[in-house]
Amino acid sequence: MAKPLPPDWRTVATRTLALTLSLVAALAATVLLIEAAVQDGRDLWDVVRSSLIFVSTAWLAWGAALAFTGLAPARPVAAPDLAAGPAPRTVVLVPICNEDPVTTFARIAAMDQSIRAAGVEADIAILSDTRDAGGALRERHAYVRLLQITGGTGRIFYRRRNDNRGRKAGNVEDFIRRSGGAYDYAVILDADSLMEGGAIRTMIARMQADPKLGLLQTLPRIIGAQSLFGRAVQFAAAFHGPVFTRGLARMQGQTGPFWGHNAIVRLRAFAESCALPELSGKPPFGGHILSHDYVEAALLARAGWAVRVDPAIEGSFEEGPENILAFARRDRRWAQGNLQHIRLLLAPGLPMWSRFVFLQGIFAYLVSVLWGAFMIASIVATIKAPPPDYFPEPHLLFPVFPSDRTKEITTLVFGIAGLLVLPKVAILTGAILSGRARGFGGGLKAGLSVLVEIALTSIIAPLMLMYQSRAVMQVFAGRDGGWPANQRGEGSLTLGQGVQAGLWISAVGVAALVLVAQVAPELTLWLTPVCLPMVVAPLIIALTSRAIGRSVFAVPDEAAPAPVVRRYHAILADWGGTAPATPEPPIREAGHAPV
Amino acid sequence: MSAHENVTGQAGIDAVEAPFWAPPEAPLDMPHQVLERARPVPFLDRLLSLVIPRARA
Repeated sequence: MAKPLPPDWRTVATRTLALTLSLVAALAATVLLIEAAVQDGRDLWDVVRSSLIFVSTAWLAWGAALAFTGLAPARPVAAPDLAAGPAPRTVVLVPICNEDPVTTFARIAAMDQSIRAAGVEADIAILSDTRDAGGALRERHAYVRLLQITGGTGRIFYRRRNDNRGRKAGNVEDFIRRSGGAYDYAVILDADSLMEGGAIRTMIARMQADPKLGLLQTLPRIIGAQSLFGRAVQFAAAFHGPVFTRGLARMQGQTGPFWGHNAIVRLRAFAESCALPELSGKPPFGGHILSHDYVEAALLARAGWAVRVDPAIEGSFEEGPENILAFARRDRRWAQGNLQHIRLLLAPGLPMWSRFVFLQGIFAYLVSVLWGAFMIASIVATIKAPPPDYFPEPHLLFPVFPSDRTKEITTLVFGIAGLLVLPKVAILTGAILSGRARGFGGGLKAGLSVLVEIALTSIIAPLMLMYQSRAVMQVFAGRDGGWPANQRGEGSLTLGQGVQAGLWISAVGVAALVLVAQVAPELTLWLTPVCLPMVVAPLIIALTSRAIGRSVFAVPDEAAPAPVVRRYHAILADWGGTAPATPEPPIREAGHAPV
Repeated sequence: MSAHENVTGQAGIDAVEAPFWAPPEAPLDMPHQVLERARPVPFLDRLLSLVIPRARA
């Protein structure tokens, strides 16, 4: 096995700077909290909440550092095109499991047309894990239709496994074991992925140009969102996503991420290093590795292959969750998958950075529990605090009032809020200065969208904290949430559905407010921004799932959809599915010579 | 006619029973990776394996 590639000095410097910023911010927050807490003496609860604020703030600051690292635009580099000579053998893998065959196969038809228009020779293999016999039959009928409209016989394949072992990772592995020898590269997609042929051409060329590159990840842009929640996620992914990902690319260097789809892999590298074993013991911590993509990226790095992410590759798309419940359901799966990585922190031979990436993924979910614990510790510390002693010395003529620590607490609150808001303000400023904001309706409209997105995120955050905390506790209690199929396309939720899913959050919010008002009334005002959204959780869940117009959260892909997206809409309309809401310009694509 | 009937309710399913719909056969070996360190054998078990021949096997 080859040794992992060492990081270059730029990557090391970026990591050191980000780590320093995070530790300094965490230390500052801890000092502020201790200064505010000492007025009534120190006790165990102060130590607990100081430790919690240190870890939680370090996590927030790490996210901010990622954004700041990505602010500087990338140096323009001439993208390599396909090398002369025999065309590399490429296959596009579309693993599916209980998906809607109409939309899934319409996407494949659109991609096939786009791939051929880009002059790329690539097969497409639809890898079905659908369990339901009726669903499988519908897939096979849709496959016939797909072959009819694409003429893809001998080029577009379909196979269904009898055994779903290993879920998506096992599905891809099964393909590689049976057919991997026929190809050099595999573009791995999700059922809701869409990729331009031009993007696939660029990715193949990049793999050809760098023989040490084992995996190249693109940044998929979310498309097709209709609801307030979905459009906010879509906007954030399009507006903030590229900057955060550029920061990630600079920080991770050659030990980059794999997000499981919209990426290209060198099949030989993937085959020799990415067959995942089952972990000893039972789920949720044992059994199949759920979040396989992070592990596959780490294993490629362990075997000496470079793994990179490039947000500059255009033409990579996916769909996102349309409401809070869909998001929380996906988050439950990811929580279990990431927490399972606790088992892999000490896996033999991994580069240190891969272990750190696992740790980050674990913390992404633990941090919700830590924030909740911090709030509880703060309430307990206030209750346990002794009453102020106005005459600490005997024979004093005048009382000594405890010093007011509101300044420290306010600084702490604004500092933490700043870590969340400042990166977004910096991204907005950068977008206005560079002209990127034009695609989002101009500077003013983009600014309004950022403002609404920050407000919406703040309102939704306590709900997410509750859902994530519940998920973490379920996993640690040994409850296996499994890996249920995505329920794509679900949109608007009724208030009844909101009550059903959010009543327990309301109950916790009301109980917390009543309790705090009784035992520590001075904290009521501080906790209201957290508790109030919890109290009205059902309303928030229902309202944010409603469709909204395009007055806010405009993204470039709405005004000028990519050719592959327009093809998809046209095919879907032809098949009797949903036609696009607005008329779209005719599809024009630059032609490429066949390779 | 719904989208599903339009796309999936057509005749011609026999056509896809032909082998052309399966990906090409070209096996590629995927050796399973080691992710967990072997657990150390507890001291008592090691002692037992020395004392009891069957346990050694």
